[in-house]
Amino acid sequence: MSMNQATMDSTELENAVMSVLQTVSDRPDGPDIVSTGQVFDVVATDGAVRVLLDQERINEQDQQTLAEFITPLVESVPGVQRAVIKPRPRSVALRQKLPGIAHVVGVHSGKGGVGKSTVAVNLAVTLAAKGLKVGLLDADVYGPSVPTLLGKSGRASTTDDGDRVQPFIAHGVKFMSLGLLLPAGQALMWRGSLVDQGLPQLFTDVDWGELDLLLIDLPPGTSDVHLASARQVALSGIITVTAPGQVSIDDVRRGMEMFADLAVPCLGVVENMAGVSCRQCGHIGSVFGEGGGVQLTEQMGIPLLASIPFEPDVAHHSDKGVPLVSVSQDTLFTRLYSNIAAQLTLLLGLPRTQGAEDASLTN
Amino acid sequence: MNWDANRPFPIPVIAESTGNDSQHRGDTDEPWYAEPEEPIQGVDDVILVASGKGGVGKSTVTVNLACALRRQGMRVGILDADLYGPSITRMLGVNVGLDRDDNGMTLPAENHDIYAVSIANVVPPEAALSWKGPLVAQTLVQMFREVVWPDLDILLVDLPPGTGDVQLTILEQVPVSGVVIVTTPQQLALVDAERGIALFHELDIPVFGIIENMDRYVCPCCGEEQALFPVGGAKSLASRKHVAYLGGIPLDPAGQDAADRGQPLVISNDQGKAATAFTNLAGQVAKAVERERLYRERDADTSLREDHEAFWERLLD
Repeated sequence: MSMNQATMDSTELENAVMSVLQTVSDRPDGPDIVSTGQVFDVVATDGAVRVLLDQERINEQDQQTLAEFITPLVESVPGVQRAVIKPRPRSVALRQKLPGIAHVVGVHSGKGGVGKSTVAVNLAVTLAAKGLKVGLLDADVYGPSVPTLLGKSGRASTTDDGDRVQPFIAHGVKFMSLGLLLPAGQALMWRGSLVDQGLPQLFTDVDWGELDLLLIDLPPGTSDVHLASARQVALSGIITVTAPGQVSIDDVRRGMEMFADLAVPCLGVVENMAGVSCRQCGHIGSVFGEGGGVQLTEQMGIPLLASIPFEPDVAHHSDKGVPLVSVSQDTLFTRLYSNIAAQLTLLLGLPRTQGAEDASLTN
Repeated sequence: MNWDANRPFPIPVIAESTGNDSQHRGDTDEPWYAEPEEPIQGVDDVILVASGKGGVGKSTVTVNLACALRRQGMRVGILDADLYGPSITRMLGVNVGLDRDDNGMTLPAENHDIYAVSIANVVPPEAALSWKGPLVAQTLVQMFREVVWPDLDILLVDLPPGTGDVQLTILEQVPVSGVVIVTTPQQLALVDAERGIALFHELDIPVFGIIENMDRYVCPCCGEEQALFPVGGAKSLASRKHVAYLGGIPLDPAGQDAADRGQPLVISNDQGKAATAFTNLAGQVAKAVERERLYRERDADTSLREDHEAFWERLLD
């Protein structure tokens, strides 16, 4: 209900802003900036309005002037709390596909520690158990967690012909991480410029073979690494992981905005760490806040793929390198992941296996 | 959020990095690290709050530690250096635009008698920048040096997770008195914390100690304490790396709500177990800062150094 309400209001606001922009023209008696296509689109969430300009249709020296001119105009529209003028979304990808890999999907969140890696690993293992060929690339260059979560350590080796890196395999998932290319306990001090040089190798120099899906475990935030990843390949989309609290939602919105700017769609939101139950009295405490995932999906009009409760078992198994979905059967936890896997299968048109169809029926 | 677009920070909202990448010391053979000498105007000691892994509670610790230090009589500021995921504005309840003084210097926001500056005061979430290295450096230096900090005993710096551009820039540009490392008890977080400690040791920055956040969960209903994560890892990391274990902070379900409302636990529930833990922590940090000041004064005191040299000369004779 409230979602429809919010969508309606946003559409009205977008239309109102659009009609104001239709009164603006960049030369006397010329056509307005909307019909010339200089204004690409207007997007509103709550009272925040973005005016997306098509840079290719505006002289470079006029862009700043135009932005400064329309900002107060847009802000004077009733219901607009703040306006941001920015370029239209544009992909920065250097290539459409990586050879042999059908889809590349990023697992991302604005805030750290909300469980990106845990979600990425458990989702990858779930998809692999359904018979899909899945790869997992740990692009968290500053805090690589995937090797710990999958229980593998050591140094990566090269392939037989010697010029590519051999991925590790655990629980049916091929994976590679910077953690396997570095000595443990050593800080990785990567300047942004080094990220630009090192990260491409994780995409192109790993011998992934044929994959239905390559998941990328991204670091938190909106840094060089994200930009560099989006540059390596046209991502089929991102999965946004968030904790339910407002602090996490704030940061996550920044992350989603960045990928939107890069023309990478958000496939859905996974809300993680919702509630701990007391072993003594059974009282459920919402340790990391409540309701943020739903709020986010309503604001952004993006599906909520799952709301996963905080499960102390997850941490215990993670430290042992055994993803929880691989050891427990038909628990709430495994059902939630099967469900995410099924939705992802539908969204991306992945090969549908028997297991995937079962899961979508339980949805 | 009361975003006031008429109060711009001295960085543009739509910004392209204009810096020259060759300025990145990583690209040259020169040693990139040189001791920064210029102190931060108005600030006695800059303390970093760091972690390897994200989401272990750096910002929560920063805000509560600041409030606890304030209660012990110290004047405290917070610089939110997490450009990628700023949390301080919400947690401290300072979701406002920033004013500037007549000289064009930025005035920090204030709440609970704590002064703070964050990128979230300046860039609305819709403007989502991806922060390239040179822009990071430029913005951070502005946040430290183009802000009118009132006289502060301690400026706490809330770092983003990891060991990237932000950390390197601050260590290059700002004299840092010490760092506290925040971790959770999981192996996953400890591995990353160890990487962080290695970085600071390598650069000769004093590590005041390790804070073990979320070391237990206190049920708000019956008070039962249970460990959410395997225990003991942080203490053993501390002893292995020869740094102090500053204590554990329990996970309090009220904490998230308190953070969302900008009312840190130390203020909103000052008798709670978490608040008590933060108070103890503040005492330890204050002691460590004091100790560091004594070292500095002793080093600066040339007469002492001469005595010292004379002693060795006599001994050698």
